Amino acid sequence: MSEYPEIPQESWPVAAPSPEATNGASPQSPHLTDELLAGWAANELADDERGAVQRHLDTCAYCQSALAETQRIRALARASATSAGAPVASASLVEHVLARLPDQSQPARDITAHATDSTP
Amino acid sequence: MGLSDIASADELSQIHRATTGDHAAFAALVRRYEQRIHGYLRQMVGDAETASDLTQETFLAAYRALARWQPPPETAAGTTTRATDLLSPWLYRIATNRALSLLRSQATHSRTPQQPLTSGGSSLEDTVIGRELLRAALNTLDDDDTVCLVLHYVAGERYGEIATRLNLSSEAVRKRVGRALTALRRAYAALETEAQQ
Repeated sequence: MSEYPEIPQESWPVAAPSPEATNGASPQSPHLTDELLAGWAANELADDERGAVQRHLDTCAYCQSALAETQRIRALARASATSAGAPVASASLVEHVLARLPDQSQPARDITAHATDSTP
Repeated sequence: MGLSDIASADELSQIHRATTGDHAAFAALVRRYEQRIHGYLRQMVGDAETASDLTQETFLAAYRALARWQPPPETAAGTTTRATDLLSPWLYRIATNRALSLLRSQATHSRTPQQPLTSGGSSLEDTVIGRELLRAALNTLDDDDTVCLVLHYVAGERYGEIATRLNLSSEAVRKRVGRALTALRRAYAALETEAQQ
């Protein structure tokens, strides 16, 4: 019987955490993936998944540490956020953009082109 | 025809008119998205003025490439595609591209934290470390993973909100947020090593 029968084998971490992030732990080791850690920390896991992760955390010091690190990273990322402040001055931004557009007689280029990746 | 269909048709009409050089139609599109794009860029680069410049660049780039934009496929099974805001995912990608170019071109000011990262410093210290962490992590992700990192970890959005905004499935967002955490943990480990030296 598996030590952690509640979590399907395919949910275990084949790709996470990286060797760098795990101080050399084997990628095959039965620890929570970053996807599961992220979902747990954000309260985005389904109930059954959440229960399985909780049971794993109860017995795995390594993943408890990884979760603590994840929580710290979340706090740091939130701390980096700028305050909402005043919204951008709409009229000003639109005017600036319009002033920099090509002449109205020159339509946007490549009208007939169809690129699969059209992100400029 | 529902309200969202009408809004979608309206936006599509504005897009087509903008591609023929109709500046008024393009202005309507700018007004529709500017606050969201500016807010996103502000979270990504950290200050409002730079975000304003990047917002303008984003819309100018979008105007130049608008004729090559193609509507997203119809809602696929399991996705949360919203019929309105057709340009939203595309504009986020352009904005991300512009912001990453800027962040990568800026000199990296290596900073040695004065205390272990795990201890939780002052809010100012955390802000500085947080921005370093983001900069390092963003350099290793593709555009879509980057958007998910910023919207989830910095702006605090839920998976479902991000999925709607980017026309992605919640499952796709979950995977991207997981990859973003991997990048953040790598960056965190590097900063921690630096702090210990």
